[in-house]
Amino acid sequence: MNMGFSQIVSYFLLVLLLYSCNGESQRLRYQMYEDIEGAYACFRRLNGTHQFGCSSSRSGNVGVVHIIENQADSDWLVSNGLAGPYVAVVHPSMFTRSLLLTLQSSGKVNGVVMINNSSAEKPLHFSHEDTCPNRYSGLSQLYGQTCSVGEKSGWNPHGTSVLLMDWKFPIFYVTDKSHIDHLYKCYQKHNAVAHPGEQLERALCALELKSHMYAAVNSKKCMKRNNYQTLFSQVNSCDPLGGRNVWQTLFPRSTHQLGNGLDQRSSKQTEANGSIAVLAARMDSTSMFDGLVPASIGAVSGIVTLISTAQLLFRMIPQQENYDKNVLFLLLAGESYDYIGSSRIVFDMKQGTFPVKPDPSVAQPPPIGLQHIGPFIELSQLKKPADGQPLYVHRLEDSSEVKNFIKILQRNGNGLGVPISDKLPASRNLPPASLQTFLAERPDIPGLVLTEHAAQYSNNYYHSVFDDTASLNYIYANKSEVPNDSIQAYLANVSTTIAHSLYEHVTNKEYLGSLTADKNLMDELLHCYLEQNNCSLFQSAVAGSSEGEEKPLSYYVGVSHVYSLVSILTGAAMALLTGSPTKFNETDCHNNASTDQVYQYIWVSSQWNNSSSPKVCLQTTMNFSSAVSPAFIIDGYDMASGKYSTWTESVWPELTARMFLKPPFYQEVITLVLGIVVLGLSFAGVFYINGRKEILFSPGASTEDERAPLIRTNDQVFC
Amino acid sequence: MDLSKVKDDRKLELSRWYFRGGWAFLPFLWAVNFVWFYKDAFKRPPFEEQSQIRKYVIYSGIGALIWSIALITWNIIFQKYRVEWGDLGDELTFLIPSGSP
Repeated sequence: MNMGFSQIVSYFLLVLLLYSCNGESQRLRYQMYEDIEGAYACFRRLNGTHQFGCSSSRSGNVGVVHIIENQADSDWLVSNGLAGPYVAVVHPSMFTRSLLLTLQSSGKVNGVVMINNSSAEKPLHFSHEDTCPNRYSGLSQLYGQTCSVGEKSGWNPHGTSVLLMDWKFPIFYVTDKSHIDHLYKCYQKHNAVAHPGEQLERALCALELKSHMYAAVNSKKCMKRNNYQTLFSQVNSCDPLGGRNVWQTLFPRSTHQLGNGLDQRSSKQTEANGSIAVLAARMDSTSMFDGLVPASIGAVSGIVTLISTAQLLFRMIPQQENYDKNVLFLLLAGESYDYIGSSRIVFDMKQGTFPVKPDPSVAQPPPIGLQHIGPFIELSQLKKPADGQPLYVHRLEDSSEVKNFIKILQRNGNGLGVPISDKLPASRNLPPASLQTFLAERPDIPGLVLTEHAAQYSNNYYHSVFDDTASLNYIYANKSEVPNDSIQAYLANVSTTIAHSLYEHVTNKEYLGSLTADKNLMDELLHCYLEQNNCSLFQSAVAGSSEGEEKPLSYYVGVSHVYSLVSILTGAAMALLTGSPTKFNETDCHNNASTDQVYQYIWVSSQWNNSSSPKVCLQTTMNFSSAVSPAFIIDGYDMASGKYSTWTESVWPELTARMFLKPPFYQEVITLVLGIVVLGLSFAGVFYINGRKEILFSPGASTEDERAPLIRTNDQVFC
Repeated sequence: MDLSKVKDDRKLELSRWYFRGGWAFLPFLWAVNFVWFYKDAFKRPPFEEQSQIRKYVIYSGIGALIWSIALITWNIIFQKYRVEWGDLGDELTFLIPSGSP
């Protein structure tokens, strides 16, 4: 009898063990939670003095869903909500600074989710950047603030600075239609009530948002903490923002070592002061959410115009001609974060280490210094202005050199339907631009910023998730005829204007040929940068290696030790479109820094519009330079000094959002009380039995042999 | 070890060694000594070694009390001022809490 009982117990336990070992328990988890895949999360960034962005608690923030569609919903939550904490679900039009501040100060909100399926309308304006982007860097180092634009304040009129605030709750962005539908259904079925008190009696639809950030306080603190790594904390808490700049010279620069047989283009011997014209554009942007930084006007318009201009110039200027002047093309990374890329180049130029550290053992071109620059042309936020409206040139300098160059630009532009208006230099007021970093170090650089806004930005989505293809009005022509009133045709004309003007600057004579920028190339470039980063041009440029996916690029600069796809693809595209073919085969097609520091060699498809065309080895002057802020290079740099960019990004373990049904409060209490009662009863039971063990387990009632183990060892089960 | 089966002279020996061991910055030995031999020192009818055991138990108790006051005080000060101390606070911390100052 006794033996039978113990066998039953062991069998029962065995079944229980087996049951918990198989998939059932996992399936239960899936039944409870609905993971919201593809949600974009707000994360934490830090500079030398503060922390910005969002973080959840370590185990995630849980809140009851409350959908806010209008002011009344928000008021209800703040004044009537009883079942808190809540997660506020809002549409972009409601996602404002004032609402977020209200929710934060209410103390009832544990997280915010912005939802937007593509059918919803875009708000009229949506910019989380400061009204004066990069307020504390660039020229403000030299002159103090340069933010006022005439009577109005700030270049970015709709800027809310939400990006530059420290939020106490996680913020997510969900775009997937089916998840949004589920959220709505769940909300309407469970959470929508007539009286706030009813929520207490129901199971409620809830969200769990996990975006815990390791870093805190400021970059100084977290960089220091990175050094205190112990046995139990071996991960960094933050990493510096940064990446790589792409640079290229029109003519190869001389190494003073003639006759190496590699120079196809004539190389220049020495550079005079002011002999290197710079054509620059920024390569990055930002938004509130990780992995979703479209930046059509913010960055793409400048990048594609620069690439197309470079390609045209290389076609216009014959290979063997020799001029005293050169052109340096610069695509800068990290400019959204206090000019990381340009400040590093200026720093390197001052140190005499741009583009490479001098190395006496190798034949290399002399370093480029700030004194060599002139003129400096920056392409910033280009788009097609309203009919008959011009592009604007902003400048601080009033020298004859600048005025001459602007005249050339205007003459060339007028012939191409690109009128250019010269904004006379306002007192120490230049829109946020990489040029500012250069001017802060050498104020007499003849520099100008070419942009679509006369005063304040007309881009209402600056540094946001909505600065997308639609804000450029771009429609892919896909190798067919590009309409003349399209953005492609317009930007191609801008490229032609700049290329013809730079030609005139370099050669000292007007361009009389017929070459213009290729509209189809512009079409393809925009397609690559805005829509599909595995387009044929990028595929050709990386020779079919597996870079790229069928989705738009994200223009966030990222952390400095990971090379962003944007810089890799941009460099490759520049090289593909301007390089000259060589006879090297694939195995010989590589750089050899110990013998040749003028050229890079890359293996690409021979035609940009056909990635399956025969492969060829191109020789190019395109190269990369580090875009890591000097703040992280200089030993003992004072992070609070504000001289250089000190932006870092926190490390996070995971960014996840999931939905589930939260039981009502009374049910949670019953569960807890029941648990405690069972615990108490079992203690009492043990105590009771222990006190009567002599009666219950009298000696002789069972023998050693009969005591079977609870779980038999011969069929042990391990999970 | 079942203390009830240990002879009194052995108890004295144990108590003495626990007391001595506590001096090696091991306040837990003192605390254990106090709890373990409390009954022998104060509750049992007198026996030969009791006065000595009592001495060790009292001293151990005082030692453990001083230690716990000191540790609790330090803990409170440390928790309260760690953030304020800045870098020093971080250097004194073994496990830096993630995501907070």
